[in-house]
Amino acid sequence: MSLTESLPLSMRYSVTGSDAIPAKTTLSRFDATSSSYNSASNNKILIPVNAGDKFLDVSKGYLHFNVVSNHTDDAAVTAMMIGNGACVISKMEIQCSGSSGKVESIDNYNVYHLYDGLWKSNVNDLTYLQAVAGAGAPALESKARGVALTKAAGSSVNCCIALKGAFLNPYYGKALPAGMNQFTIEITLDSLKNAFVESAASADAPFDFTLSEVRYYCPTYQVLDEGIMASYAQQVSSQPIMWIGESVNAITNTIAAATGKQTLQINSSYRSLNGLCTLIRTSASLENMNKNSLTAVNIEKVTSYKYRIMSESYPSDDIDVSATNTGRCYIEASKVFAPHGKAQSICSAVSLTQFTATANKDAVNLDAACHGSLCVDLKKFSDERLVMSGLDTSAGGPSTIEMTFSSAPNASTATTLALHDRMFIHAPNGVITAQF
Amino acid sequence: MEGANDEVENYIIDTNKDYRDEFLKQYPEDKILDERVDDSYIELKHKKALFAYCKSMIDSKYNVYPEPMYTLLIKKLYYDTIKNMDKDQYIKEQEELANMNFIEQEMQIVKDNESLEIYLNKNNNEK
Repeated sequence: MSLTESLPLSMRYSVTGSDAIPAKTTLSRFDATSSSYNSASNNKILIPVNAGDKFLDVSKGYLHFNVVSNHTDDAAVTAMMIGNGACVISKMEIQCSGSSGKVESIDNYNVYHLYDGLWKSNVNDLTYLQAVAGAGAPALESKARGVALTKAAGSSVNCCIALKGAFLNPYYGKALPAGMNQFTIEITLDSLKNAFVESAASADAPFDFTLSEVRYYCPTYQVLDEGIMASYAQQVSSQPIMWIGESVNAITNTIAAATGKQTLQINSSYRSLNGLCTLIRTSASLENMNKNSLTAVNIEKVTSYKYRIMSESYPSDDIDVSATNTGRCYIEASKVFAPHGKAQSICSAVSLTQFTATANKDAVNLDAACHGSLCVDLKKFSDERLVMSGLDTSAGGPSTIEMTFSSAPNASTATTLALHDRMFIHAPNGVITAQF
Repeated sequence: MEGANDEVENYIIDTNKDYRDEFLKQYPEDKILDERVDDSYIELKHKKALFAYCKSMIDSKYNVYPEPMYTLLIKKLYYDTIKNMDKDQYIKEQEELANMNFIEQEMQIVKDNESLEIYLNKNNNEK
């Protein structure tokens, strides 16, 4: 029996005849404070956002920009995006008026965005990303290189990027409350050498790029009933509102070119640490115009690893890794990047070949980059209705990753992503605070 | 809420403006939703069923709204439904059902559903 059938007839006529709640949907546009930005000079983008009495559906929002490479010397040289347009974002922060400090700050944003995106992408997602975000042509596996830009004024591309992070991507897709204080999306641009690869062996200067038409688009909903809105206004000024999502903190370490066991300090203290993911990139490839600096992450020469958090091992035994033994390592990565409420992320974008590919798969002419990582999933449950289901490490204490190398790896940079639940509380006085 | 946008709006944010204060002044307390509706004549089981229906409707169509708007919308739908009800017809309907045995009651419910569908289809066609 349906819900309407359980109502008496007189009530059913009334409920089906009730007026719809009057509401208006608007695609709202918030412009950055400057008309253009250069990666080498004014590389900090500020986008103030406030929609007054409208609700901001940030989970459907996206960053829009036009990007052009400024290299001028050689018409034959192209600068290719790594992954997609998200490659230009080195850091993303959220600043709320009236709140002290940033409520969210993500370093190495492009590394996180692109790697997380790989684990959530199948060929249909890759088709979408080519159309909207400047990614390469779709295939079953992901392609490392995105749109190729010719020399300055030769070509440009417009990108639409759905920003990640907890503030702009709350669980359950709830809109941000109407009547909030203004908040600002702050984006720091990465260098051209990190965000792009150039096609020529001798890289073509100058090494910078320009962004223009930088905007944040977001659907906003307005309830057009004055009585409801007055009741709502009275309640938001007397009780807190909360939303929660998954955020990330990036911890950077170095890996020496040495055989045997190496231990890196992580020290992540959170109320709900959902997972850890260590991405190893060859140090010489960073800030290198002819190397993939962002998505070429490898597990070459790693024979086993485990995390040690507050004296406990995670997982309890070492995860062994070899060319023929990648199952546990791949499963942990798949679990760490699973969408909220899912046990695993099933994707086509990270194949076994890519997962085990060696570090030299970061060259400019390669689309099949290395995509291996050392992860551990720390969530206790994967039920969509549950939040804060990760490991409570808020008591502090040391945490490390222990890796064993069969022979000396390249001198590398290890970026460990600490994925955690971040809760935002909008207090009755309008101040927004983050708890994590 | 998944439909097309009504319009596109370009916001010019004034960083010196207190948007929250402006919002609170725009919706003063004297305009708060009037919730005084007489639902005392409705049986508890029907009130519970109506609440479940309203919650289900808001969950499926308006689930993007955060608290406390989510709760306010459920209340609005609940009270609007009761405001629109014909009290005498409801009481008469309950009295008639009370005089029927089980099978007659069930048959009446099936018949009522059919009439409701005809009513809804007719209304939709006219629109």
